[in-house]
Amino acid sequence: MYNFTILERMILESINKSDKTVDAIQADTGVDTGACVNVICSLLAKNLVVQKNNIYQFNQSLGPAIVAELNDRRNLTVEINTLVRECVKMSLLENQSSFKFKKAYMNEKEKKLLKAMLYNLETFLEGLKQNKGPTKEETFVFWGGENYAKAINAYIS
Amino acid sequence: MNYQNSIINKYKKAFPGRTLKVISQETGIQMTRVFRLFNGAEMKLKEYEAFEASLRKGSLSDSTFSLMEKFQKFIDTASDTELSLLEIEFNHMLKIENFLNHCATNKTYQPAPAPAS
Repeated sequence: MYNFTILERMILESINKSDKTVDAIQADTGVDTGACVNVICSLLAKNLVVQKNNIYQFNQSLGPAIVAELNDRRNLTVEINTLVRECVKMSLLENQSSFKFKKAYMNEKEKKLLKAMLYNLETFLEGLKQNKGPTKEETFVFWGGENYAKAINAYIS
Repeated sequence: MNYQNSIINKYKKAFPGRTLKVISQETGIQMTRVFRLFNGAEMKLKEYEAFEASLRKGSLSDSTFSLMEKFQKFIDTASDTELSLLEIEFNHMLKIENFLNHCATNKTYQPAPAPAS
């Protein structure tokens, strides 16, 4: 498996927005130029991007095998875990407020209320999809909830 | 050289002059058995593991060795799904480390100017 990393995904997303030079990718993502070059080499080797006159373009004709690798559930789990873990670390170890966690008992009515509020949040975020801006200025938002015992049992099983 | 000779040679090299008594205490293998192993008797799997653990312990700091032991225990008991996720996670970390560590070699990278549009 290719083991697509968060660094590669960020740079690929940047290139996917518009064709770019290394300097433009660096400016858009905020990733150090040296690391950018290494990541681009990896993406080129995997044929995920193509180079034309020092400009990098997203390869629009990806084969089904590589698309399957990019969407591999286990790989996505690790990628999302990595981002969420950093938020948890920043909040709990460095006292930043990027992660909030609450646990509460809810009756059916309250569960429905929460569901409606989360739906509103999701709709709001969906509406922002057309917004354009530097990749490095994007904010990732996560939400959700699970039954306490169900999560614990899934962990220990 | 077979595995047995290889590990005994590594052990002798890592701990030159260590007495049979100390080796016995360190590995948990009886002293007479250590003597026989050093003279060519065939090693059992548990003895091989004992020498290997002793070598690891000698080459790592206490905290790293303790961590390695915990990893070993985890690997022995974790489910296939957990192991698979852990492996992907390690692969990610190593890959990103590799991307960042090679930056030094790319410090001189000068991208050619983009063609005028």
